[in-house]
Amino acid sequence: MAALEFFQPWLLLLLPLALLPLIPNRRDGLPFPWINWLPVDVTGQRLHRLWQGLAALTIALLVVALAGPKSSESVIERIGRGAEISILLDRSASMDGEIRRPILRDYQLNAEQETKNGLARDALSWLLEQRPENRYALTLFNVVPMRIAEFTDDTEFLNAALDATSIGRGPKETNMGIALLAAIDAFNQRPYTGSRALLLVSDGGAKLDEATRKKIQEGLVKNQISLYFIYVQSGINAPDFELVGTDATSLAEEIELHIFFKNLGTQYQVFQADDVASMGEAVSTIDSLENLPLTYYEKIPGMDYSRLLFIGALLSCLVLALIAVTRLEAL
Amino acid sequence: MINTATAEFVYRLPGNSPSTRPGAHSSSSRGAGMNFVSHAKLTDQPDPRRLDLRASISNIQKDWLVRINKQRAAIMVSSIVDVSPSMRFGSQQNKLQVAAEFLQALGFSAGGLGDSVSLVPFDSVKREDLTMPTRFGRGIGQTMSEMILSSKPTSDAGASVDALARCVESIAGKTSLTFIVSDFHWPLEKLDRILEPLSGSLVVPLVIWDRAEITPPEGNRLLSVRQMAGKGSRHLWLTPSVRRQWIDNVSDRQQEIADVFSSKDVKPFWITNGFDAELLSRYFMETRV
Repeated sequence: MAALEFFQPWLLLLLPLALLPLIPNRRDGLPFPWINWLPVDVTGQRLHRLWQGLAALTIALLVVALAGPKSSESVIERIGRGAEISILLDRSASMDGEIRRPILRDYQLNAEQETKNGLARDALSWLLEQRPENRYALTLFNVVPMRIAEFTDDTEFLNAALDATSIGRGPKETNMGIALLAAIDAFNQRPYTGSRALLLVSDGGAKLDEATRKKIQEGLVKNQISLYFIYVQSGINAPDFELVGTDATSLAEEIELHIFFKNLGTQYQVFQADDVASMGEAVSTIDSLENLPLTYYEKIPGMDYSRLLFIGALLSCLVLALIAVTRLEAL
Repeated sequence: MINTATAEFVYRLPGNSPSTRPGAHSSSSRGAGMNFVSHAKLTDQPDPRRLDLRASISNIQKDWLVRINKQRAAIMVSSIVDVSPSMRFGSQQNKLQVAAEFLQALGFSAGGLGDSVSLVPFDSVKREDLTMPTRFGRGIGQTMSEMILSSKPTSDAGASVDALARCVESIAGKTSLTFIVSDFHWPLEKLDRILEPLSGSLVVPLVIWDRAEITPPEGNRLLSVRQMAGKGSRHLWLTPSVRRQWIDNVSDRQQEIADVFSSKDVKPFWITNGFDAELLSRYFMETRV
C-alpha cells in the first residue's frame, strides 16, 4: 500500500559512490615492502571486510537519505458523520413581516400572526435540536453579511445567536450576492469531513451581477456545497417556483435567483415555506438529506524515512570510527 | 642526509685476483711486491736490483738468479644496488639511505686502497641512467650515494631478478668483489643461476631491512598494509600469535636467503639497524681468510 517514493530521485544517481570503499585503494593500507612474510590473519581480514561493508553502507545510506525516501501518500477511507451547514439567514426588514397564509375560511380562528423571521428561527432551532452533531455556521445578512458563528457544534451558542435575530428590525435593503459569498467563504480552508450545505433562508431574491454569479458558482463547486433555498413566501402574490420555467430573464428577482441556482451545477433544492408546518417540513427534509454518513477519502501524507537513514548512517560511522581508532597509522 | 664524517671499512679478498694494476690486494701477477714466488735467470729478468746473491752462489749452474715476487694488485669492486620502491621504506631512515651510506663508505675505502668502483643499480629494469662505470678516486662514494638517493623508481613494479641478471652480465669477468645491496624482496629461486657469471668474484650480499618491517608493532591493533611494489594487501589483528608468526616468517626468510648464498660459501651481511662500517670490517675479518 505504501510504496517508496523519493523527494529527489535524481540523487540516487550518486548511489554507485557506495562502491568506492570496495575498490582497493592505495591509501587504504600502509605501504609495506614485503607482505609475503606477514601472516594471513582471519580476524584482520574480517575487520577489514566489516570496515569496507560499513563504509559502503554509510555512503549508500547517506545518498538514499539525501534523496529523501518517503512512503507514498496513502489514501484512507473515512466515514464522516454530521454535516456542515452554513445557515444564511435574511435579516432584513421584510423578514419581520407576517408570513403568507391561505385565506381563512369563516370557521377558522384567526390565529396569532407569526413573523417570517420567527418562523425561520423556530425551524432552525428545531434542526439544531435534532442534529446536535452537525456543525453549523450562522451568517445573517441584510446590507452586509454578518458572521455570527463560525462552524461549531455548540448548540446553546447557536440558539442564542438565533434568538438574537428577533431583536430589533433590520434595514430594508438586502445584498444577497455578498451574503452568499460570505456564507461560502465559511467553508474555505476547512478539511472536507462531512457533507456541506448552504442553507439560505430568505423571503426575496436578488439581482446578481455576472462577476458575483461566477464567484458563487466557483465557490459552491470548489467546496462541494449543496444549496438549499428556503423561500419564505412574502404574500399572496409571491411567485410560485413550481410554476416557473427556465426563463432567466424573468422580472421577478426570486425567480431569477431560483433559475440561477438551478443552473449552477451543484445540488440545489428549493423549499417554499409559507407556514410553520411547511417550514418545519423543509428543514426536516434538509436534515434527512444531509444526515447521511459520508464516506470520504483522506490523504495521509507520506512518511519521511530520511531521518532514520541518517541515524543509521551515524551509527555505522561510529563503528567505522571505532575501527579507525584501533587501526595503526604508522609502522 | 649523509654523515659528513665518512665511515671507512676494510675488505679483503680470499685468493689472488687476476688484476695487474698495482694496488692493495694479493694477485697472481708478478712484479714489485713482497711475496716471493721463484727465482729466474738474470738474463731472463734483467733487473740487477733483485739479484739474490745467496741463491746464485748455491746454484749449480752458476747462473745469476733474480728473485721474482708477486705484485699486490688493485681490484675492481662493483656494487649492484636495488633502487626499487620497497627500498624506499623505512621508519626513521629509509633503506635507500642506508645503501647510500654504504656506498659512501665504499667509495672512501676503495679510493684509499686504490681500487676502482662501479655502480650498477636496478629496479624492475637495469637502471642505465644511474649506472656508473668503473672509476678511481676517493670522492666517488659521494657521487654514487647522491645518484641513488635522487633516483625515482621506473615503475610501481618491484625489483626484478631479470634486471639483476642484466646487471650481473654487465660486470661479469671484470669485477673481483661484488656487493649486492638489496632487501631481497623478490623471488630467490633463480638467484643461484643468475649469480653464476660472478664465479670469479667474491659476492657479498648486503641485506638491508628496516626495523619496522621485521619487528611487529606492539598492542592489539588493526594493521592494514599494502605491498609497496605490485599488488596485494594484508589486514592483521595484531595478537601475540600473529606477532610470533610474523617474527618466525622473517627468520624463515633470513634462512632462505642464507641458504641461497651458502652454496657460494658466502654469508649475507645483515643490516637492520643502520649501516655500521665497523661491523662490515669485522664481517670481512671474521668470514674471509
